[in-house]
Amino acid sequence: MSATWHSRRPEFERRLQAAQIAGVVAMQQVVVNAVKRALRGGYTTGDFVTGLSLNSVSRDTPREVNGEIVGRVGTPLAYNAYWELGHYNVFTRRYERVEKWRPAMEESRDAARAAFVRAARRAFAASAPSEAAD
Amino acid sequence: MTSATVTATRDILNAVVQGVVPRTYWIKPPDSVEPPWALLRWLPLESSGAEHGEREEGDLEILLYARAPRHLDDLDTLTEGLRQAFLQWRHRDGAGGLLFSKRQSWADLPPFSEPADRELVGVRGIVRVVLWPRYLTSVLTP
Repeated sequence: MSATWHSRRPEFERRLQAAQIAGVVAMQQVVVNAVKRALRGGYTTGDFVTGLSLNSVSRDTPREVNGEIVGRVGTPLAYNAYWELGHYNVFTRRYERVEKWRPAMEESRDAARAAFVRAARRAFAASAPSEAAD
Repeated sequence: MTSATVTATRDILNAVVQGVVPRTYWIKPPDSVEPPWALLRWLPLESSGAEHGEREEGDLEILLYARAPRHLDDLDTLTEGLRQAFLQWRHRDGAGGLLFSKRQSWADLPPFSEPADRELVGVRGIVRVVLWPRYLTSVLTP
């Protein structure tokens, strides 16, 4: 008679990381939507909104950094940065700053956390090994 | 924080930055301001929830602007001056509570193009500041 023991820890860790990645993707999507909603009116009057600013809001693929799953939401458009961070405008001859990104990210924080929990739980449950496999 | 505390805190932080950059403003500078100048703003304050949320901390944003290429060396000097000013900084007086800095980070702003003034270069600093009301800093406070 013999008994064997094997650890399921590596499998558990893989499932946990996959669940975290699914959660971060869900969070990113909530933030992307919130920022796009905020950018709908443009930075000033909305007269010059072309859709480029909205369509450029994107997320990257989450990855592990120092043991944490990190996902980013951003835009390649430089002019978003100088409206968000503020700039001295040569046409209006004054300092201009209109923030859309940071308030949208702060307002969507709770919704993003809830989305993380939902998506991570679902992904973790879905990756559970079936009883037959035992 | 009460509005009086907010004003007092602003005055204290303003004095620290003004010691390095004389032209320092909150939120928005005057329209025709001559560089170099600094702009201060609180990013939202957070409470740990302890002591009924009275212990707060938040990020103080410092934007520092200068005109290139004339003031590039000045910008480095001013940035270093501000970094030193907030290094292990603490303020305590009879009227207010205790304020002290924790971590800080500084980064150059990317070069901007039109409609932004292309000669204006900037540095953005974030200083974590902790605010404790006076009655939570001394057992002798009535």
